Amino acid sequence: MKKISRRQFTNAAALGLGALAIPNIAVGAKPKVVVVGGGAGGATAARYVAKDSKGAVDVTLIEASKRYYTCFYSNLYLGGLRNYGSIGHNYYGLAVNNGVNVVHDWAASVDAQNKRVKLASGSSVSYDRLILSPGIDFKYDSVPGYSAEVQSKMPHAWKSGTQTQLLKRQVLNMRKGGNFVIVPPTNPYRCPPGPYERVSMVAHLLKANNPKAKIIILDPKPKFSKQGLFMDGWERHYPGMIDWVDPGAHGGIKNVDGNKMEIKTDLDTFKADAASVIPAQKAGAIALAAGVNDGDWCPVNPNSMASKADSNIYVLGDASVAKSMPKSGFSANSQAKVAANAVRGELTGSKVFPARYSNTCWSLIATDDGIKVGASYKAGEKKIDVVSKFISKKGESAETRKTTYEESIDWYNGMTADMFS
Amino acid sequence: MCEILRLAFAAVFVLVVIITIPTKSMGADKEYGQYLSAECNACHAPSKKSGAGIPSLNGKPVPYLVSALLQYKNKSRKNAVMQMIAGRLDSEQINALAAYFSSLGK
Repeated sequence: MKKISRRQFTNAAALGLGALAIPNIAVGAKPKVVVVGGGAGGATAARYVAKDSKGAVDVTLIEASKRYYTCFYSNLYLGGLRNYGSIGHNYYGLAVNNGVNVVHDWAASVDAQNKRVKLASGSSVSYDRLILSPGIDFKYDSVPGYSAEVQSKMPHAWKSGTQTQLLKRQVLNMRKGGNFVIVPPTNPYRCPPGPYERVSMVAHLLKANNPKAKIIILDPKPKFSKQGLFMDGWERHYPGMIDWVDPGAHGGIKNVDGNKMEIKTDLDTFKADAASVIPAQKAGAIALAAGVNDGDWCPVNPNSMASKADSNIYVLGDASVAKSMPKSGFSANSQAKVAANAVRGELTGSKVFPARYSNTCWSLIATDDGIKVGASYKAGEKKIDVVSKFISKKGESAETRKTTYEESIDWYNGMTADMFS
Repeated sequence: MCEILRLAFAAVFVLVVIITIPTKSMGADKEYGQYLSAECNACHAPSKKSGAGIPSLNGKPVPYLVSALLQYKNKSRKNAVMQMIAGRLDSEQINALAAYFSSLGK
């Protein structure tokens, strides 16, 4: 009986929502979806709306970069396990295979009343539904002394691209036996295990090139994602190289100085030969400009990812408040499919199915030593609720860890095909 | 006129029955399968170039897909991600997914 009631509900919903699309159909104009941001959320949403509507919806993707470098696997580039070119992707497939109108421009502002996105180049694009997936921006002043200028000396490398290349060069140029210092961000931030995978991959690189070097983690948090698994792995692969200093021990980051390459805490002033300082984060600027934020992030309805502030606007990925999901590329990709299904339903009357989400984050500790954490989710009353979850275990066999790493390679290929093919 | 309308309605009714009965008896709604498959596409690429970790599902036979999902669901086949994904699929969803992926070209 449950099955029938769901069908009845979704059919009824589709009919009701379909009626809204009639004005568009009546005047012969195709409904328009504009997507801002061509990452894991935006590229996937653009692709699924275009592909599944089979030309019934005009889809425009606004993305400044012509080549997108994935944040996921950028740590493997740092570790020397991937080359830079292998994490870069273009938008050719979205345009040619899926008919997405790809516009390389900045979305400067949103006129929600008239449903238009204004572009930095001066033109504008109108929409029936707007999907915002702008990722993150930085709260530079969350770390005293840090700024957009200092990021060239102490790269955050938390948006993949030239920052990641810069960081790798600085790590490779460290003096022998020198210090690499990393300041992870405060919660909530993009990719919870990311800073600790970065530590692992920098350690991997240093072990081969600069084995007496040290890594110091000055963490503003008292605990972190997959902590037991990472610390166990660091002891096995990089004994004596990595010191994790929690806020109880260092007493807080008082100042960072990019010229002197010093990080001052209550405990001590740490001298760095290379450093990665990752400030606190907030939703990408366009989400704030659209006014769909509450503070730093954008609340959404858990059953569709539609903004709680404007039902014509959807917010995906890092920029959204998608609790209990972490801010990850996988989460954004999963949310994009729920949003695409809902948006098509609203604009074309296609069936709208109940939201289902999932996420898995793979991390690499050393060659062939992969770990993973993941969960499946459903829309709850007030938030996205966990259905079930799993995490790798300490003491797993080398074979299991290798299989986990190999799985992540295929995931990378699957994920990027799902975004860009 | 009334007679023609009645005949037309009857014809449409028969057509609807013919079209819907086989689909429902298999429990495999293609549109639903396509929606559910989006979750699989996050990891399973449409065609597989290298590696041994995650196979392509396109064009795989229905019995193979159904049995693999059931094995992950009852945890007799190992993989934490797949046990999580299959764990919440009911038989209608498993049938819909298998029908959808088997209908795709390799």
